[in-house]
Amino acid sequence: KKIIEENNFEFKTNIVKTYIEIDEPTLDDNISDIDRIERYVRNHLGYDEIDFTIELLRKVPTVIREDNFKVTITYIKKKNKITILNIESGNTENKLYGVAIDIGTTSVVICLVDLYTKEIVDKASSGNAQIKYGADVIHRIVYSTKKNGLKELNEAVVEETINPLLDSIYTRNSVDKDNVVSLVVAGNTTMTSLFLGVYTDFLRQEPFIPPFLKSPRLIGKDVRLNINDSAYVFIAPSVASYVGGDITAGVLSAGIWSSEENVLFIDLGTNGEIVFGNRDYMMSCACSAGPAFEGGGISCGMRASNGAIEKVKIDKETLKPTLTTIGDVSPIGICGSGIIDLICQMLLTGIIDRRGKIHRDIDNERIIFNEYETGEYVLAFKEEYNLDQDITINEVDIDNFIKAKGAIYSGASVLIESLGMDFSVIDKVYIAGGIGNNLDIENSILIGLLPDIEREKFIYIGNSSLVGSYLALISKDAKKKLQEIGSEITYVELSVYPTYMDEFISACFLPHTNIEQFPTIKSKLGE
Amino acid sequence: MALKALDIFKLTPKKNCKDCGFPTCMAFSMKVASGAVEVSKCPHMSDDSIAKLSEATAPLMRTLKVGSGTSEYELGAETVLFRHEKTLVNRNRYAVAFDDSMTNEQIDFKIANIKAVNYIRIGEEMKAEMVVLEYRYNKDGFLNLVNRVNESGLDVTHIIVCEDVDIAKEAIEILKDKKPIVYGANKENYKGMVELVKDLKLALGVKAANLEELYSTIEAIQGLGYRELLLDVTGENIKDTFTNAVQVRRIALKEQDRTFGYPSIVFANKLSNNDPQMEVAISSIFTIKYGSIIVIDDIDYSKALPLFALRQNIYTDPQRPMRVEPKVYSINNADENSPVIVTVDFALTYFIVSGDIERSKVPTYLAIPDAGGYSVLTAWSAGKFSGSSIAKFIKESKIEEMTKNRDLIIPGKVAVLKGDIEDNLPGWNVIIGTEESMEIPKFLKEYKAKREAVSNA
Amino acid sequence: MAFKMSVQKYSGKISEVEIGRGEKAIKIGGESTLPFYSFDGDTGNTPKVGIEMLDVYPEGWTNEFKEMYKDVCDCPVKWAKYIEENLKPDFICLRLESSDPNGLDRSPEECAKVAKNVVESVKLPMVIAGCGNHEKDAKVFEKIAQAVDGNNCLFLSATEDNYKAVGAASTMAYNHKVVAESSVDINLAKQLNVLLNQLGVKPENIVMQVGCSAVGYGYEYVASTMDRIRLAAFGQNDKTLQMPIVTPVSFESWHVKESVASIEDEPQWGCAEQRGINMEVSTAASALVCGANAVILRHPKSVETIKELVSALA
Ligand code: B12
Ligand code: SF4
Repeated sequence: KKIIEENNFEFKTNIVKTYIEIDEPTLDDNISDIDRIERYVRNHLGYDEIDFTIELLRKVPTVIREDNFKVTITYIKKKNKITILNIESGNTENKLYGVAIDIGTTSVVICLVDLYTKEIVDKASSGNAQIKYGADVIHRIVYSTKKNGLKELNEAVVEETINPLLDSIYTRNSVDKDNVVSLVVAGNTTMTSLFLGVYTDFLRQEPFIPPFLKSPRLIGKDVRLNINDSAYVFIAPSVASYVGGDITAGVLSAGIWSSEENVLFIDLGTNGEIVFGNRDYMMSCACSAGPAFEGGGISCGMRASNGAIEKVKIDKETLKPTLTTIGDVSPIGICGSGIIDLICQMLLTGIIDRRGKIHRDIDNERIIFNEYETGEYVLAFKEEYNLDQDITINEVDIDNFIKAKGAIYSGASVLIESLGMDFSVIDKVYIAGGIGNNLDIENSILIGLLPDIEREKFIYIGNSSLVGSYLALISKDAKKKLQEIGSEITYVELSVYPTYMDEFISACFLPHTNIEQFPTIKSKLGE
Repeated sequence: MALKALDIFKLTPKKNCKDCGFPTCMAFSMKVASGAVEVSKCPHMSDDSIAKLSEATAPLMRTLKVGSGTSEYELGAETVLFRHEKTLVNRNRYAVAFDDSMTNEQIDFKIANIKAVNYIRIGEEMKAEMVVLEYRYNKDGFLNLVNRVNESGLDVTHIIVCEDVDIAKEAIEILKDKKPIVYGANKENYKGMVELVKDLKLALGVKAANLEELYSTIEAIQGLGYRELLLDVTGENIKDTFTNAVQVRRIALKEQDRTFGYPSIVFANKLSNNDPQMEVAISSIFTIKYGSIIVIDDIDYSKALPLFALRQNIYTDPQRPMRVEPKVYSINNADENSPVIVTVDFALTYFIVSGDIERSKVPTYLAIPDAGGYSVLTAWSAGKFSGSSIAKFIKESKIEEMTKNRDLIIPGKVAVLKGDIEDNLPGWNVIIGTEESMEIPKFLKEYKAKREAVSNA
Repeated sequence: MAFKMSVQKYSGKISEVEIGRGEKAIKIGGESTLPFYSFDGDTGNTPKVGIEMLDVYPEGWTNEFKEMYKDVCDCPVKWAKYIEENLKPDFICLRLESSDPNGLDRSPEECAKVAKNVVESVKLPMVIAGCGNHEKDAKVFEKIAQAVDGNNCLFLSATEDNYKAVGAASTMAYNHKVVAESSVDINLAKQLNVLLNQLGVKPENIVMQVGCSAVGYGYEYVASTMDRIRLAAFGQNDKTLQMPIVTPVSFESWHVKESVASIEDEPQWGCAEQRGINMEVSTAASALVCGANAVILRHPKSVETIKELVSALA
């Protein structure tokens, strides 16, 4: 909300609810119910005309009489005309809701907002039912090319994920779906296309052309969601095939578009989107880090939830680790921030060299080599916490993680270098994504995920996409700004950027091949 | 200095109106900075911005158009000293040397050599593009040479080498509709030479005893308003020539002094005193270090093959991601029983996988189709490493004639391709390999053992 | 503007590495300018030219070589002496082809015996080159480093797969020099030098081999990698890249069709030997002007031309 105030966005929305008491009909005053409402509106609310939908009309005759013509109408005003979205008996002026939705590849989060108080009434989230058709965007796009694959994917997100979430939140807060009159949806380009049932295969294939970036004018019934059929629906605009509405919404909430300072925005999700800029210009790219920061693709990796090892300390002599888990329960796996700690500790205690390969000549029970001669370090023996198998990290996991952090670091440095600048110009670094707020900044710099600049410049902002959607929901000006951000950001296609490959290979080293870029780490590594 | 994208962006109207064909003003500025598009493409740019920009982006080295018809070439227009910074613009050209002392037989012999050495290498025509016709003392011999070469039907650009203004005039008269280069302006005769070339706007070669004299002679010629110049950087010996060539190009592009902002010519034939091998060595050096035209004594395949191949390499676009040539590679002396492994043409992947196959000591063919220079999964995602693209490559590479073995081992990460490949490649048996390349040695050894057990049973 | 020589001063300098012993020992590197840019400052030691020989009969070589060396190439010692006396290169590169597991797969001990005899039969500095199978090279180099200790040989080469064994054996257990080999990538070259340094190998004992290919076969990658490594070493004073470079030209230039196609296959191309020499000369000249401090050649005529070129440019 601070951003809204700071940028003098008006806190208004063009959706209004008004309690009215209409003269009851008599033999002499026998005009139709609709004309009666229109007359009241013309004489008391000052608008010449009203418009309404067939669904609204079907409610009028019974609802208007429930409390002798005392009703509350919900409408959108446009110059001298209003469009009535809903009619309820009695005074329900205070019941006017909007919904903000963040459609993630892995999980979907919705929040119900009271449009009067601007407060978030309730939040709910669940896994994206599309997962059964593919863990990541590419597998889902491939699935969508199969016979009615697109329909199944669309239903999986609408009917099987969002609507059940809406229903559960409505019952918990006894909200009538017709009072939900405004919706803002943010998701990456693929998620947005599948949500609207649009064919996306060309987005995946070179030269990576998305079907659309800005969505058409939409109302409730166009998207088959349990909200008012004529509710106003706004989809956060995408920037390119792999930089979507979740990022433009994130940029809105991070306030980059109005910042005097140079801001670097990093989403530690699968697509690894990055935005750099300020009020004059914004650049972005997708460095496709992969799911490693959410534990994906790592043998004992898991999301940041109960039982996940999130902090590690290794004793230099015995190489025995002390583990801290989320929820302080016995460990069942390791999450993104835990892996960062672990790799730092393995580097500092000399278990691995700067390529992430385990030293062959260490004699310790926790270091094992399998039949492919791939090294492994045991974090927790199954006996210690009666698990059915040891929790370990092997050289393939480390290599995968190094490639993911290398993709992020090289993406950020290419984006800044494309303007002829370097990391010293950065004033703030916003980190978004599901890695969890106990991301250790010092360790992230030690492994070369983040640039070696003043630590206080780093701020973890969690699910910035949902915050952005919320702002667009409660403020018409914020919604307009979000639309503009979509066309202001300049997308850099890394796969054809001349020096990207060099930067990537150079970043696949701990912390980096050019140690001079990490002055404060140099001494720690005894260089 | 090359302008940075941000400097250009500051001069744009910042309206993001897309009229220039790019999504934002910043995208447009980045393209201008990389030299891919002209500033004028933005219709809304203010006049003083355009003036400021065009002055800053004015080329530091002139473009010279020489020769005519199929033998018309551009020289110069370079912007960088090292090819990894930006694609080099105009490749150097080779000229075979003739002079007024040659008999008709000697002339015809060299003409025949030039015609003989003409071949295609990776889609590009390879040949000596120019001839030097040098006047020393024998005017009749010289004019006979010029006529004979002109009438021989040899399709080349002609370089008249003559410091005598009047004799040069006669030679120009013979060759004038072929837009020859006229070499031989020096500090004494430059006024007369400029007169000769000015109307036809012919390229004028300038020579001098040293760099100071070359600099002052050019300034004098520029004073006459003539800028179609070619600079002779050939010194007394190889060392001076090397210094001259580097100094001229660096003074133009790094110190930004446009007085030396012209293409150069190197007389390798004069430096190698009739040693063809030394001529190849010298020509190789100036193919890399800034010789726009390299003059050689004669041409044959033993000179052409290395020099034209080197030139082709140096002038390739450095921008593409590092990839290896898509083809079938034989590892550990693969033979008719060896299996086939397939992976992407991304250099990083190729070097890792081929190294691990070598470590296995198992003879194997490594099939590398064009996969856009992406890693396995990135290529698969972008549709550049698919069942059809792999099958198409296997058929076109005629690997079926190299090995009787029909086992095709694919990367574990794209196991999903097995069905597609087998549909497109009847008769082949697709085996899903391991996820990581470091597991290949053990995987291949077990594969080989299993196959031998089967064949012995 | 008046004419002014352009002079580019650099803070960085290439380390100087000595190979061999006695008065025939050679020094490579030590320069603080780009190759032959004498107008910028100290161009260090003149580049050195070495000749390649094998530890077995050169079956795979073309007939001219078999003819040229017919009296000596059955015995590596005779072959080395012949080279020293008649061809006078700056150093000799002994290639242990017999150790190749796909070939004779000779044991490390046998290779060490042969290497010791050859090294002690000549005064010229010796480069010991393996067969290219990284695992086998490590085992062979360990034995040879011990056998020829005191002769300050250069071991070609340590790679990412075997750098620990080869780096330790050649420069720590015994005092030789080691070549760090990577393939046409400035970052992989830096990473290997950093790893060797982390292992304890001193930078002044390292020579780099940053990739080699014949002209026309991806030579642009070699040229650009060398340009970028030298510009980083001088311009950014990058200590991890300030090592001299050796380029084994003959390992590549004699395998391309321009050098081996017989006159029957390509009648238009003329004599095969001259083509092979010119391919080798062109590749070597290009490597020298891009940054090579030492080149390894095969044909004596190539050695002559390149030595003449180097002295002309120095
Ligand atoms: C660097 C990178 C990029 C670079 C491209 C680099 C390049 N030239 O390929 C850029 C940024 C351009 C990129 C783009 C994309 N990428 Co990307 N990228 C990566 C990253 C980080 C590393 C890939 C890499 O370099 N691997 C190194 C090479 C050596 O590995 P490899 O080729 O797979 O080979 C190994 C194995 O396959 C095996 N192997 C190889 N061949 C063979 C053969 C046999 C027989 C055997 C047994 C084994 C074997 O051995 C090798 C070494 O172990 C990975 C994530 C990660 N952490 O790994 C994602 C990843 C590959 N990218 C991915 C995607 C989706 C994309 C995009 C399509 C979308 C996006 N998110 O941006 C785009 C496509 C193009 C575009 N629009 O830009 C996905 C692909 C898989 C998936 N299911 O989604 C990944 C896995 C990340 C993820 N999970 O999202 N990417
Ligand atoms: S035409 Fe000009 S103003 Fe419009 S987007 Fe392009 S650069 Fe910007």
